Amino acid sequence: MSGLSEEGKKDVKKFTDWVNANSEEIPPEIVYPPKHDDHHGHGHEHKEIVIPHEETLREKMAKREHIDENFQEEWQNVMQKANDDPSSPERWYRLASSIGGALIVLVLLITVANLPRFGSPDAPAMNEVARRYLESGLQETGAVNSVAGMILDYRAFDTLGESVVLFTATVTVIFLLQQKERNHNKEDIEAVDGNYKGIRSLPAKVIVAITFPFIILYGIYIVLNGHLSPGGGFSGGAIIGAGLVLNHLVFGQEFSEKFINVNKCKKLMAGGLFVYIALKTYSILTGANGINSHIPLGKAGSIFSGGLIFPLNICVGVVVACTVFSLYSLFTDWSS
Amino acid sequence: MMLNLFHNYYEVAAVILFSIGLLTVLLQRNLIKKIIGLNIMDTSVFLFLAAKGYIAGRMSPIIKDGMTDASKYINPIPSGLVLTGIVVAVSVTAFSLSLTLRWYQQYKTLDLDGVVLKNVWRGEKYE
Amino acid sequence: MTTVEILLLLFLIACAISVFFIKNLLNAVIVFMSYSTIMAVLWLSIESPDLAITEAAVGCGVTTLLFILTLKKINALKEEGGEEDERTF
Repeated sequence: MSGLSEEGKKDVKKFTDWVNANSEEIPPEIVYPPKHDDHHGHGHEHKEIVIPHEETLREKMAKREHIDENFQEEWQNVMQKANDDPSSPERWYRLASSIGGALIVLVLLITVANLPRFGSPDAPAMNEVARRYLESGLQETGAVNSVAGMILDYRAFDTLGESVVLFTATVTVIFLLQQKERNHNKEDIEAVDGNYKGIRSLPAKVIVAITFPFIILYGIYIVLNGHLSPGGGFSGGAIIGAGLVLNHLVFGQEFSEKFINVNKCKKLMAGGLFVYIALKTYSILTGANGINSHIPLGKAGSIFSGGLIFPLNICVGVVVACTVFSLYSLFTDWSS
Repeated sequence: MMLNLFHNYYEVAAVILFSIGLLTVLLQRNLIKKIIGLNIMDTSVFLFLAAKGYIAGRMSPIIKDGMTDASKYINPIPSGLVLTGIVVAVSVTAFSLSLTLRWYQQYKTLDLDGVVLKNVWRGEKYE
Repeated sequence: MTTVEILLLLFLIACAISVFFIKNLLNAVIVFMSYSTIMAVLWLSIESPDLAITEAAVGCGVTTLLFILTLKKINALKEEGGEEDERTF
């Protein structure tokens, strides 16, 4: 832009105004038309910018629509030709990647053949770390489930990173898929969103009305019993999120928005992560290496045991449930 | 040595699944198929890790009756690692699917190679 | 027990190969869902119930949900463009 003459700048300004006035009709890619190889006027900079007339633009758009319509058929033909042609690069690529895949399998199979036998008790993977987790895990963490004790006490920092990955993924999806501000007029929403009132099938509504509380209850049970039985924040949170999604699918947005929506989800996720960080910071500052905090571990096997594992599981469960629901509603609400 | 392959059947299956996922990513031109291939590669690695932690005839790592004897339970470390991996795999899937939606909105095709050709037909040049 | 496990592993490989060859994307996603379910059963059989429950909820449920929502959106975009091509391309 800076290399243009005054006249050229004026032309660009005029064109931009015209584009802004007709922006709905013109795709943005052809705002700046490609340079023409003029026979004359090499010395004049402003002649290199050609402002097309409206008719030219319409012609271009028509051509483009034609391409879009006939694209798939033409592309199939081209690929068919390429597959039939023995010397095409497509075929070489396929051959090379098949051979590469076979080589990788060969190398990995040789490695597997030299590994210790499946299920052997003296495998090197069962080292002193695993033994320590099993032998003194119950005393040090208070968790009956060794896996939960491991990921939420010995390796809680790892799990924090994992929750942050989930949070980051949701934020990225929000950036990519969040639509423009919609009118909060009720009729507009109903017109845009087909699922505002829910589906009309009565049996589905009755069945979901009966099972929905049990799904949520089961998810909460799995989250709260994470230190006693298989499960924990991740699986329980996913179950709660799936229950909320089912509720949204069947009863519609009008009912579902009464207790949860994307904005609430964002706040809950950030709150869950914050509580997680605060609890873990407390444990690291008061105890040695984050293990021997002054929080009572409780009687092993009861629900209030395991020290910090119980609240940390709840935090992770909240983050995961909100992630699942907000991913669902972002993918559903998004319209081009 | 070859006999070991028959004993390590879990690991062999994981290797085969890994190669299938890799070939899906390499050979399919469809973006959704590519993402499914990535997921298959993920699960094959998880299967390999979890199989390495298994010890025949032992219980799952949930302490029973206060019995803290390491020789009664399987290795808990692979389980913890794979648990992290599953959740990260889901995050990656959600991210790449939203990118795919944007891609489709822009180019109106899921075909990766087709986009280049389409732009050439449209008379656009990318330098 | 070993026979059942080997059968399940073979089924897993069959699912993965058929995902490669199935043309319709919705069918491919559903086959991948059954792949995840088999994986959950296998994890139960190698004494990792934590992984089994997480895979059943996250891998089988949430991933499939996201895939199907994406396919639905892509079909909606396709109809907007006036293309009535059934081939998922």
